[in-house]
Amino acid sequence: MEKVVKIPDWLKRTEVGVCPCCAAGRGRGFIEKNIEAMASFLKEVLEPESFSNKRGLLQAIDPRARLFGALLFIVSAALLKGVLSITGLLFMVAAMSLASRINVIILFRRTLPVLAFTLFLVLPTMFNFITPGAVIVKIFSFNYFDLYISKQGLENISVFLLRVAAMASILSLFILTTGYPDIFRALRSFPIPRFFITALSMTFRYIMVLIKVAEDSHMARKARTIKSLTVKEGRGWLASQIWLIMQRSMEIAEGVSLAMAARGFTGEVKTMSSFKMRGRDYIWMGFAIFVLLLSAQA
Amino acid sequence: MHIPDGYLSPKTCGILYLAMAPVWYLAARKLQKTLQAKEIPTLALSAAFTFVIMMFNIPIPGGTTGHMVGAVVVACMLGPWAAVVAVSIALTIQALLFGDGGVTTLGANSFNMAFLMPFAGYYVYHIIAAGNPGQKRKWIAFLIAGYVAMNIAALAAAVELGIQPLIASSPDGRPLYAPYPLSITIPAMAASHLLFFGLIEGIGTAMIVSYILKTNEAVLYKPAVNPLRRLWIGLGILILLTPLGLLSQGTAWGEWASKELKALLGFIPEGLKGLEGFWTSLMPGYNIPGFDSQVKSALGYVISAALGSAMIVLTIYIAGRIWKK
Repeated sequence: MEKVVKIPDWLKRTEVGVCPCCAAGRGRGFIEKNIEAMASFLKEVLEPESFSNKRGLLQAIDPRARLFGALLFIVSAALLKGVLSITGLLFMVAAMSLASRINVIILFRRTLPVLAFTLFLVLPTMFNFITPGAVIVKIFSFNYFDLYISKQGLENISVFLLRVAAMASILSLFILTTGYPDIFRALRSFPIPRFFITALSMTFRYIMVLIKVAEDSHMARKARTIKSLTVKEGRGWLASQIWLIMQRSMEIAEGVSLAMAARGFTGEVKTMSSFKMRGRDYIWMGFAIFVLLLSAQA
Repeated sequence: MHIPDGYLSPKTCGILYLAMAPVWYLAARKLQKTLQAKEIPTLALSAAFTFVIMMFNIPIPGGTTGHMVGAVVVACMLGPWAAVVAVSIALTIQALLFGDGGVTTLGANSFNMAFLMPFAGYYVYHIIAAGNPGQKRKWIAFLIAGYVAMNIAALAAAVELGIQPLIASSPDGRPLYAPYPLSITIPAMAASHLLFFGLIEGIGTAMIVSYILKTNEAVLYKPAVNPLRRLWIGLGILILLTPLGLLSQGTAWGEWASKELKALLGFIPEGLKGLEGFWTSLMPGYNIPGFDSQVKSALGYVISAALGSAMIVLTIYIAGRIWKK
């Protein structure tokens, strides 16, 4: 039976109090901003859980093959140079998303921050003062100065934006369809030192623990603050919290290493792997290699 | 600072992955020696700590807030090599699990933030805090270390982005990746990092490490060998290599004398003509006056290099003795 993790809506909301009591200086306080950042991070962490358990195209592929394919598609997008070819790849990603039972809007929402940043960054290059060329839309003309959108400039930003969109959406699709433990287990099949992957998965686990420590201390401070903090007070308090997190992390590291030693850990990491490559996984990898070869020729 | 996927050409990404490979290898080797059995949990928790402090908004004067990278904090607490691995792990998790930064640009981001930044910050701190510094000098040293390290990492990112139009463009000259040249990327990154992000990193580093100094200084990383010793050895090697300059032909670009300018341009600019004789140095052209033969001028070159280096070292030494606080 299909296993679906349902996260209640109230848990996804990142509401913060309306009282700017924790503001250091003007505007919204850093305590509120930090609580908001931690809440949105946890929401981001929980989001893939509801998709990775669905029965879809990508979820049916072995995580190792899925990661291999996703990496090849990302490299393919990096190699493509034309608007049409990158658009084709984007359509392919959208089709894979639908086949994996993930709404394209969700995929788009995840790639929106990087796209908005890129658009803001490259927007000036479509004008003639940076990229001269054939006139597409004339904005204004004054004496000898013309401001217009050039054909070459528009082509430049189209290729750039489409490529960034394609690469970000492939990565997002992979993240959404693969649970975190599977990502770490899939990485073990690649030529990456074992200790690094073990450290990666442990890091991910302890980020959650440390974020909980940070969230609790921020909430406690917010609950006890009435008057605005000065910048100096705010920085002092934040420094003490970072010190607390550092101390907690060192304590945990000590405890975990002792626990690992007590269980016979000698430095060599052994894991159980329930992955099994099937015919469809080889077809998927073959398809990814085919797309990469096509992109290299393009 | 995190360069996303698609901004750098595959060629640049490949080269920066290759550049990081020996750094990661060396860092892993160094850590195996120092951390031993505790290696993995300590690394994981350090990376988790780096990841969490990257999320914090630091308040700065004016009511605004900003994020810091935290590479210099980790370098000062665990050593620069541990910082390489911890920040690399944090960047990998950000890229692979949250799509922040990029998978193809992970080598580049690690080069800037996990290699250049902790090492630059670590050495800047040890240079400024050399000897027996007081609390005030330590605080200033951390502030400058964070500020300088952030700006060095930003400069590296600006160069990586700015060279894209030069190395990856279509046959008609159209840029295929990051579209702005160095003349735009460097000032843009410099302005934002010199005025804002560098300040955040500097203040953040100073406030965190100073707090640790007040509460429990013992947890700060203490190098087995004085880090300045390596720096001195490096500088010594560079000084010993000075005679290599004798092998070069011609004048350095932009350092032309009036005769050379006349040969290049056909005339001597008026301003240059008027100011050229304003100051005559004791050793013009890195030579001793009267040492005209080839052997003598080579000797003069070496003597002037040795004298120049000695004067710089002496000045810094005296300044260091005066500024003890």
